[in-house]
This record gives sequence, structure tokens and C-alpha cells, in this order.
Amino acid sequence: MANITLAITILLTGFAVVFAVLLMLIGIIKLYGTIIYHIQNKAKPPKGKAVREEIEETSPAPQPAVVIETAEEDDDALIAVISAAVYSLYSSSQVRIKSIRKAVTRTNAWRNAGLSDNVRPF
Amino acid sequence: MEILNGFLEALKGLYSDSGLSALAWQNYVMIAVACGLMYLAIKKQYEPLLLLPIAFGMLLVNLYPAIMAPPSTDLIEKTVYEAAHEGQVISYATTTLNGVEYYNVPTNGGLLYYLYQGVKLGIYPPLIFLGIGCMTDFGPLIASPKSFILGAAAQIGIFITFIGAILIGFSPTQAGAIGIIGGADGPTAIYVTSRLAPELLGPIAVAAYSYMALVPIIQPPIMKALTTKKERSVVMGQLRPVSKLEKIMFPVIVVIVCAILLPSAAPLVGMLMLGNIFKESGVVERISKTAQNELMNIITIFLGVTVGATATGTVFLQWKTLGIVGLGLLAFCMGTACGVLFGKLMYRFSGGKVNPLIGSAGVSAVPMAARVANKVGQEENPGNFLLMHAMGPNVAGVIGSAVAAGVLLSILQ
Repeated sequence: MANITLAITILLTGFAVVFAVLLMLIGIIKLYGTIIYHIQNKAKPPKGKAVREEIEETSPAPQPAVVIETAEEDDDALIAVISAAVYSLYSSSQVRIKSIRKAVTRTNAWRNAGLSDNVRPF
Repeated sequence: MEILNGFLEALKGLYSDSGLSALAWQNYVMIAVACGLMYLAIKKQYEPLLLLPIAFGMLLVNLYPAIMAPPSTDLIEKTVYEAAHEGQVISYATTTLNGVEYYNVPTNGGLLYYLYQGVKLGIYPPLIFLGIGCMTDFGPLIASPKSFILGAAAQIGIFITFIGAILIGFSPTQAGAIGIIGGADGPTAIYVTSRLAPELLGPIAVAAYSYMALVPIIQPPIMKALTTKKERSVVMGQLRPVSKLEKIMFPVIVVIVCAILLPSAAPLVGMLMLGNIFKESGVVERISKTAQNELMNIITIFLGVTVGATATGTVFLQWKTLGIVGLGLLAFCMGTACGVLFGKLMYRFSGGKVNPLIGSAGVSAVPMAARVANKVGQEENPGNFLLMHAMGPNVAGVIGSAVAAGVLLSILQ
């Protein structure tokens, strides 16, 4: 009987404490999340404009050869995924995607030699 | 003739020293069980990182039980010892029995006995949590803090199973250790068991890791039984982006709240959050990489082998092991069911915006439980991606099970 009493006590205590601690964390996280969101948004210019400027500034001029390559592949799914990722990242419909080009990594022989030396199996 | 007698005596000595004469039938059964677990780890890839060392530790201890033997003292007759160690300065204590003096010669324990001290003293599980903290992204939880409710709900299974274990005759400390299997968190289960019922460490560790490996089999039927097709098809809105500052503040706030309110949970939660701040601060990348790779791998080896080595034939082959396995499954199922039921509540209160399937991920088992929620959701709607939404309750479950462990330890220890 004593064990049953203890079991029910633990059930009620455990239930109450776990929920109380985690509910308290919910409250604190929401509170500081809101505070940080407001502080960081005050310091920024209006979102849509900033995003558009940033995208337009950072998007380099399309390189004909690479653009043609993408167009030849006609990979609609890839373009859709990249567009979705960009819209998701900036959470805004104000973004315009002007071009998508493949990032060409220009490597030299020294870099390749160093890389292969580091990744060579023992 | 003398040579033949000597040869036979030598053979007899070798036989009496060998496992053939020293091992009981239980050891042979456990050797078979260990081989079975190794098969599951290698062929079926059921939690191989832990199941393989556990199985091999089990194999070793049942072949050579002295590998887990604690240090002891041998009584050796003084004259015999001095004759064998002529010229040596001897400083051992002496004991006199029936007028004969003996030296108390200390002998070393087995290899795994010393490695096991990390489990016994509660060192390895928090170190594993350090590595887990370095690998965990709490972003989905910060973006959607209500996930904490689902992480808490899934812990109810622990406490319900506690009552079940008491009813079938386990002591309160053993019942606490069995109930924690429902947290679906290996290091937490080992930590609590090493504190409350170290004698059950082998069966509980094997049961906990086996059920975690079986999450994709155990959870979907419960999830489907408790939800409607419409509920499973709910597509959840995108989570808000979380700033770096929020991610850095999160571990500090969690550790302050948990350690102040529930000091018993501080070793687990504290190390988890230490690892997380290593990751999120971005200023100690080397330490973070070491904690989540080399350190965690080393501790995983020691933890697995030594926990497996507690599963000797005489300990493991008892009726209560079956009880532990059955109650562990009950704890796991109850945790999943409570998570899904609370998910349904959130579905109602949010006006159908929350998919109740993500509640099942509240049982920890990161990230397997979140993947299962995603997979079951995609069976209804292939375009539904619940993974990130399920990661919130999933990582909340890790914190929730550590808090539940703290409650059990503070009441039962």
C-alpha cells in the first residue's frame, strides 16, 4: 500500500514538475524571442526594400556561358527548389530572382595537391 | 611414468582454469544472446553504434567473468610469499589465522571493472549529452516553443510505467529505473539506472536501445490508431527564422531554469546545454568538434562495452528481465500515445494548424522519432514535410526526459 501511495505521488509530482518547468521555459523563450525580434527589427530598415536591394546588389551579372548551360539543362525542378529556398530565407514576396548560375570553383594545382594530401586514406 | 603424470596434471590444471569448467549454462545462453544482438547490430543496423559494443561487452563478460571483477585481497602465507619474492621489501598488512601469518596481497580488478566506474559514478552519460548538445539544433524548438508541451506530454509514459512496475512487484527504485526507458533516451536511462538500480543496468540498457532502434516499427501503428486521415494530412506553416542571439541565449536560460528548479537534472541538462553553447557561440569550433566526434566516440565505446558487461548470465536470465522488457515497451508506447494525444489537443486549440503526428516525436530518440513523424505524414500527403516541425518536440523530449529523470532521482534517491 505504501508503494502504491508512493507511485501515485510520483505520477502526480512528475507530471506537475515536468509540465511546470517546460511551461516556464515556453514563457521565457517567447518573452526573450519577442524582445530580441523587436530590438533587431528596430535597427533594420523596412524589410521588403532591404531584401530587394540586397538581392539585386549581391546577384552578380549573369555570365552568358553558364546561363546557357542551365537553360540547356532545362532543370525546372532545380530552379523551383532554389526559388523556394530564396523566398523561404527572406520570407518575402518582394524578392526577384534575376538569374541563377552555377558557381564555378577555379582551383589550382597546388590547392588540389594539398586537398588530396589531406583526404588521402591512411 | 612421471612425465606422463606431469603431463596429465598440466592438462587438468589447464582444463580447470579454462571456461569449459568455470562457465555455467547461463553464460552459454548469454553468449548466444550476445551473438544475436551482434547480428541485429551488424546485419539489421539496429543502433549499431551502441548495440555492437554492448553485445561485445556481454560476450566478453560471459566468456571471462573476471574481466569485470572488482579488486580484491588474497591471503598468502607469509613464508610462502617471502620465499617467492626473495629480497623484496614487503609492506602488506598481515592477518593471523590459526597461528599462521598471512599477507593481505591486493590484486587488481578486471579491465572492464575500471572502465565501468565511469558508468557507476555517473560520468559517461553526461559526457554523451555534451556531444549531443554540440550536434543539436534547438532552432525549431525556439521558433515554436509550444513544442515543449509535446516534449512534456511524451514523458507521462515514464510515470505511468512506474506504477505498473510497482504493481508487479519491483521496488520503487527499480520501478523508477524501468520507467525511464519510456524517455527513449539511452544516456538518461543509463544515468538514472546507475543511480537507482545498478543491478538492472544490463537489461534496462538493452531494452532502451532496442526500443529506440525499433521506433519505426513501434510508433506508426499507435500514431495511425489515434489520429484521423484529416489530422495526419495537416500541412503546418513555415517556422520563423531564429536569430543567432536567441540560439546563444537558449542554453543559458534552460540551464538556469532547470538547475535552479531541479538540481538533480543539472548534470544532464547542464552538459547538454554546455555542448549546445559550444556549437551556437561559434567561437570554440575546435572544442565543439572534439566533443561531438572524438570524445563522444571514445565515451560511446566505454559506455557500450561496460554496460554490456553488466549483463552476466545470472543477472540477465531472470523472470524480471522479461518484466523489464515488457514494461519498457509499455513505457515507450504510452509516451508515444500521450504525445500524439496532446498533439490532437493542440490541433483542436490551434484550429487545425498543428499536425498531431509531431507529438509522437516528443519521446526523444533524436532524430529517428522526428523522421518517423515525417514519414507517416508523407504517407497521407507526399508533399507534407513535417521533419522540422517534429524536431521541436523531439529536442524538447530530450530536455523533458532529463527533467523527468531529475524528478525521479530527487524523490527516490
